[in-house]
Amino acid sequence: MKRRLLTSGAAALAFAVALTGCAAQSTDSSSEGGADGLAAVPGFDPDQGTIKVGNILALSGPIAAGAKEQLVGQNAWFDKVNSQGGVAGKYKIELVTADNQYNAQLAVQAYEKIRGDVVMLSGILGTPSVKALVPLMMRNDGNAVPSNQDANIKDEPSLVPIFGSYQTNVVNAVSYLNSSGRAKADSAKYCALVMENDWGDAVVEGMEYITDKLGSKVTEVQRFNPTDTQFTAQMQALKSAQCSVVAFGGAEGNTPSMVAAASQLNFNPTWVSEFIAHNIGFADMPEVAKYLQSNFVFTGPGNDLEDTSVEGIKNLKDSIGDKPVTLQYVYGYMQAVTTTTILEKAIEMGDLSGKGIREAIASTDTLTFQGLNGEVKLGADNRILPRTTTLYQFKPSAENKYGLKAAEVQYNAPEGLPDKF
Amino acid sequence: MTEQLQVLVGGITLGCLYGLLALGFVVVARSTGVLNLTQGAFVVMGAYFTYAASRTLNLPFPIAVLLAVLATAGIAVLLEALIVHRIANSNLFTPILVTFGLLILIPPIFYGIWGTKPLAIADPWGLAHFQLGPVSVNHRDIAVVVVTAVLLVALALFLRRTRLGLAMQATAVDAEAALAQGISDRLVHRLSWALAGSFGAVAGMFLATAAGGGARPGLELYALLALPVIILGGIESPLGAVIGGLVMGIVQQFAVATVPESFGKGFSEVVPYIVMITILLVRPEGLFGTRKVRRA
Repeated sequence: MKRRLLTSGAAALAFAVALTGCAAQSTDSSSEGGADGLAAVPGFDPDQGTIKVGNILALSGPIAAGAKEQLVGQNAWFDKVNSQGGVAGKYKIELVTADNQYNAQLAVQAYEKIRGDVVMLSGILGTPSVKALVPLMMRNDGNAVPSNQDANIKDEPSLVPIFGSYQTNVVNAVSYLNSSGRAKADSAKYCALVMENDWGDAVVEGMEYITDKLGSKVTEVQRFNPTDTQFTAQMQALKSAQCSVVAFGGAEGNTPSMVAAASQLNFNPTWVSEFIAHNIGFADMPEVAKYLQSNFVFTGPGNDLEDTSVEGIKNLKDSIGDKPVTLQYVYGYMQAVTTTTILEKAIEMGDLSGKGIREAIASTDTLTFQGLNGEVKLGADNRILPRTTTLYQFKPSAENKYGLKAAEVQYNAPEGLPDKF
Repeated sequence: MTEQLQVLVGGITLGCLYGLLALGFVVVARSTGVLNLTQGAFVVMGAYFTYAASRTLNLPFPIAVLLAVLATAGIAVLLEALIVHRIANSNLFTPILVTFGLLILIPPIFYGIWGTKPLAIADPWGLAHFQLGPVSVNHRDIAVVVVTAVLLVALALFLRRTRLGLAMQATAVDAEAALAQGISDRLVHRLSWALAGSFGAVAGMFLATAAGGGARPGLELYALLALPVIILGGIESPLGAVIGGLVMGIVQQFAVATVPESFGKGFSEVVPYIVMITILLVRPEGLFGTRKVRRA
């Protein structure tokens, strides 16, 4: 009997594992106004001169390293603003952070815990978490600058999207490979190896759009689960289809296993991948590093990460010291710049409540990022995400193990992009 | 044909890894009746201890792995002695929940010590591979298959040819009768946890190779992927664990290679579970499980 129960329990757990794919501020306003007429609201104390901003990041779990770098990037800008007197020259930013462990349910709990203490969120990490929080933020007049590249939620009023979509990055990368002669459309065979989720679908959508524009098509699409470690079957199918350009929709945890399978089969196409498939630790895996160096083009926001003539890069380098600038730092920095831009607008309009910040977002036409990305158009109904993508090669060195070097800064595909991307 | 063989090789490797992960569950379930979810934490320990011994202490790789196995086994014994043994016989669910709690608690300690970026252990295989006719095989994959086979044979010999092994068998069959014969259930339980820790550590080491992606957060989840394997093979059968792992691994890889997209999103991921359910409908105790006969 116990054995039968044990088997049943294990079966239930197995199904739970199989089904598992792998929290805004209150607007109750307040009391009396400060010196400039701004009323105190949750997260804003005019007497103390502080504005509290929240973050819901995966500070533990599989992508904690990147999340922590995003936080460092945010602090780089907030510290600079604070050193100059604060937002609007008088209100210091204080960060309130919460850990969602890259888990949407925990994100909701974290949001409920901190929403009464902050005026807005300068970061939410993980598309599932962002999607889980949108309805809550709509109910509570909450607002956030998400770490998110999902074009499907770019027009949510509670969000301030600032990053190029997955589709845009694939389109720009494939267009660049064609125009630079590295993979001409008349001879290339285009394919995709993507995670079995919305992200993967977005990558395929981008690939289908640009191949159609180039008079070609996507020959083969292979998918995988986030926890897969064996890619032989997928890689064999891609090799059999003679793919020469493959869009990879995977994260850093998937990259070594994928590279192992590709090396095993001596399969060397040009891979197009979001920078989140890269990790500084790969420099310590010589064979993985060598394959990435020879075959990968990484996409993301940013610029030449060593170029201190770019304002954003200079400020980051001033803040982090000798460490190499990473795209996760850039990501966080851009979120912080956006946050202070919106807060300045809300202060100008005289209301730091959730509703006031929402109005400030709606009244902001264009966002720019100190040379770190193309601009964002914040229309009321149809926002236009950045049209540009910076393309990186992996060239690690002893001094810079991160190793992403800009091959093409903020490339914009001449084939054009639909507004929905 | 070459493509099918290549997929088969991938399936065998994946299956052996599943089998290795499943052996840890099986050896504890068989001896103590506990579904030990702490197995995932042993995987993490094996990966990080191997990293520390091979990279920080610069020990030769085999010695590093041996140390990692011993350290993980030692911690497993301590966990059993200090926590799990006290509640092992309370009811079915308490031990499961307690071991689940340990699974949640332990890995973050390791990530706190070693950080969250992937750490490459000094494994001797890297991404090296060789051609076997038309089929390409990674050195690391050969190691996975050979080590799994050796551990399975060693476990079988231990259980059948040694006093301690026989004691474990006796406790598994009838704990009270074994106790009456002077067999200490404490010793048997701790030994089974030590073995589970050892299997978990070896699986963790393989998952932390260059081909696996290094020691990194999230490795504990891989142990849970072995749950359908132990159900398929029989929750108390070591041979069933490995055969079940092979069936799951091979089926999964061929499903990826052959199931068309028209079957629906993610269908290939579901195929192993369909196989599991089908087999359980025919043999509820699993492929190698023992059917209980109750006499009136």
